[in-house]
Amino acid sequence: MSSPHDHQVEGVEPHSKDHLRNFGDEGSASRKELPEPEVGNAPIPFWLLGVIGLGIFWAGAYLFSFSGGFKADVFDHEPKFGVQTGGSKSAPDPKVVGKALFSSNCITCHQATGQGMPGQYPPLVGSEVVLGEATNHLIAIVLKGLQGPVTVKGQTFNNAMQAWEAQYTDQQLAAILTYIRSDWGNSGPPITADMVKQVRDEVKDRKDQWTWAEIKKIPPKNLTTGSGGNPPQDQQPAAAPAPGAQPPPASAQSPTSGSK
Amino acid sequence: MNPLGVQDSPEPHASEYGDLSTIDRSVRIPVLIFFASATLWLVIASVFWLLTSVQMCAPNAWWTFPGVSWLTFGRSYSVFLNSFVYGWASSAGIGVGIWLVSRLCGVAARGLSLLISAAVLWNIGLGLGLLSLLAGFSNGKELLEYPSYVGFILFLALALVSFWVILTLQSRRPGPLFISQWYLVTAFLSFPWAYATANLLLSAGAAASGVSQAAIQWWYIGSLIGLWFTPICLGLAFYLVPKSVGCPIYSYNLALLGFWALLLLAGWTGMSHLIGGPLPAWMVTISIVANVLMLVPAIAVALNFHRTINGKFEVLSWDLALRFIVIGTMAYTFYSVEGAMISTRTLGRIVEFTLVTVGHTHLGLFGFISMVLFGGLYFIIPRLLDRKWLFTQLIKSHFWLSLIGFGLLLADLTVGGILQGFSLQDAKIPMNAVNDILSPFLLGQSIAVFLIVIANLGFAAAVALIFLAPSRVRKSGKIASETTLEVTVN
Amino acid sequence: MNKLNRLFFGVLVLFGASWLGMVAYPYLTFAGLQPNKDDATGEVVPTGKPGTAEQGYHVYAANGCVYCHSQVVRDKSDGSDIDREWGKRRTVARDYLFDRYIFLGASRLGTDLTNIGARQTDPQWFYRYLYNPQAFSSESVMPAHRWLFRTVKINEEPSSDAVKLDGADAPPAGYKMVPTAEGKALVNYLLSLKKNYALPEAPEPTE
Repeated sequence: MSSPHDHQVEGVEPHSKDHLRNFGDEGSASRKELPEPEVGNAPIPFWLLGVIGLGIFWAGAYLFSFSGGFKADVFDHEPKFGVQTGGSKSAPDPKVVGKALFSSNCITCHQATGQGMPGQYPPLVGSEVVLGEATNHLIAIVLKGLQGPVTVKGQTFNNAMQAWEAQYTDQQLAAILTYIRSDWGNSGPPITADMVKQVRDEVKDRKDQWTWAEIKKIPPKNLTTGSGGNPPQDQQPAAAPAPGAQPPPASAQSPTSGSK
Repeated sequence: MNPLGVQDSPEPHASEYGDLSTIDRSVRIPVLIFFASATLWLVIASVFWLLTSVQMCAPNAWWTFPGVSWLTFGRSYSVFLNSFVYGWASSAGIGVGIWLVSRLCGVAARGLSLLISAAVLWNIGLGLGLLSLLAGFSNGKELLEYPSYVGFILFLALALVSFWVILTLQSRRPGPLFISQWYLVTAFLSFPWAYATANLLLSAGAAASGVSQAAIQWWYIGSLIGLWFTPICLGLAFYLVPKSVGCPIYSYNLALLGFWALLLLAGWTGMSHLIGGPLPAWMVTISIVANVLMLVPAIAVALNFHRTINGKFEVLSWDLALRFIVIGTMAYTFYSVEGAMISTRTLGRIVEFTLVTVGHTHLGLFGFISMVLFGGLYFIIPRLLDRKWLFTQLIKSHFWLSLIGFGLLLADLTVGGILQGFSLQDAKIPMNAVNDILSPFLLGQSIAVFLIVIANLGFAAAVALIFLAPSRVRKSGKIASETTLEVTVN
Repeated sequence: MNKLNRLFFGVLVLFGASWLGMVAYPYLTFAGLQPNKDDATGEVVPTGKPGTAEQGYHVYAANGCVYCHSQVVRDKSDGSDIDREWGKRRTVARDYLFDRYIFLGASRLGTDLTNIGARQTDPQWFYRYLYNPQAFSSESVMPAHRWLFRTVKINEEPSSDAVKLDGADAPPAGYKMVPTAEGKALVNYLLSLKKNYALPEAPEPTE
């Protein structure tokens, strides 16, 4: 195969820097251009043909394997035939699940530190509502939401928190509440799905968000020591008056929370 | 052998020599209108590029105009994208296409009124489009934001140019069609078709509903890049590279392979942006296959250029237009390789929705397309104006600053995007934390864009100077060559 | 290749093939989709959007929301969308059946919005978020969309439209902040974004 440079156009010097010292300013630069390009006829290298062959083979195999039969209603390129793969069968730690769920929505208002925002969203850290004995109040708030003024740790918040009962299952709410009662220095017994279910049934006729006054009227119950369910881990209930006693006076008002 | 290396007889050995300047002079007006307006749009696009970059870093700083509705990020970004793609790149591309078609057909252009009307219509459309986007009349679909009446005006302009291209080709001098002509025919036939389809089916009236809109939109974007910009830029490169080094294109067969492979595959490539999306699996799969097979035209073209220019790399030291073109075509190879990688499901599902795809798009639009077009304008403009570039140092600075700025941008967006992608895959990392990870990269983006914008402004200054400079040649100072951009050194 | 005609024909056939596959085919196929009727409950999904939500499309498009927000839920094998509670299942073609304009998006600088109307049901949340995103998410790069609101004098009592803003954002005494018509349309549109019903072609992944 001859070198492409053998096809150099005759009569034209290989380009060099020297030859452009003088040129006049008349006329177009085009007159002094190198000639129009030509095309050599080297063949396509064999290795490239091989690569192309492999590529076509791969393309065909890929196309017919992952196209779901070219059907318009098959969206998964590898449809699952029955058994779900992956995922361990052991129950995941509710605190880990709860933290992930908390991070998707609640974090927007109550923040990742659980500190809320002064004047806007109440903190969860050291909150009487979160850690108090009246766990049914806590669950009711998260299920139906809360509006109007409320005081947490001596500060007043006047906002609105939406109802979460439609968004989360009992398991998920239990995980979130277990998580917020165990992080940032909080320490309270876990909440179980049965407890959430119990409160959900009790308040199912309610349509609107609670106000704090209405929450206080609900007889407080400490479901973690009641017959509701067994905490999965061995934990002492937080020191508290016996079930039935009044909840602590300060209360948290959670505004509408949500994910970004 | 003539020491100047050029023919000094009035009728050089190749009969088309003397005709070249006639041809150039015949298309001068419309091409210069397209080039001048392209440069203006580049300045506008650059300003908005910088604005959107800093808005991403500091959304509430007073100097990013928070709260001003017409400059909000969502509108500025659409103005940047559209001004860059249609205002700068397409205008310059049309100008290059017209010039190249004329030269290769070997006839002085006729029917100039078609072209001049097209240039005027095109810019009217762009201007109306700019105002519409700022005022908030947008379709909200990437690269198809202009309202339908603007799309119609732009389509008319495109149709006029395409019509002229076909007429000119029909009346060309006899002989085989050169490689660049294949590419130009593709560009001027495919793009008006794609543009009309997309605008009719997607804008007001929304004739297509539901997910077919996504399919049509991404088909359009794949065609925009692969069958409009790529052919124009490759066509330009196939003409200027062999011409500037004085060697023929290495292989006709490779060129044929590269061309037909591109034409076969490019329209199918868009859908791989929707991995995991609501489209049937086969559409995404076929797109992935097309993207990976696009390595074939990329390798064919790269091999062809490399073996054409091999042994002549020293030309790059003085031929500045060639520098831009060679860097641009190298970027095309990188673009195709990166495109093949990120279109697979394995990598694609991680880098989807991240800055990596932004970086890839910029690699195509700036690294490949804009650099090649810069080279083209640097070559063509002096020939149309019968003047020389004044300060070649400006051109060299433009080159290096572009290269550095863009290299920084690509690295920044790719690394940041990969981190973003892995963070997004982990559900335990909330969005707030993902954005926290991103913030240094958004700052890096602003810095890189700033460098690129300065480079672009340098280009605009050079173009302004050559347009506005008096026709007398300056006898002092460095003088750019007329055949190439060679600089005499002390 | 000496003949121009061969070139024209080649472009027509090859580009036309992609036009057939990527334009004509989806246009024809997806136009024929019907909503799904659940045999047990008789419920028909998806449903169309209310009128004000339809106007919201234009506000969403005008302000370039699509450049940072996606509206696609991917399967578990492709991403963490479902784990992030952005949806209970992946989105499929029928989900967008009655969407006059779709904004699938290609960037997630912000969260996915496919089911934002299911996650947030209170319009106040949306108004406050649009007014000052950084109050909700300090690292957010979302611009504050203040032109979707205006300050008006309070007449007798605060109207239900008023946006509850506190602190530095609060309007001066005697005034209230209300959304403009565009703001309301946008929020109605966002509230209508829910695709959390079941469809047979997209089963919910088991845990």
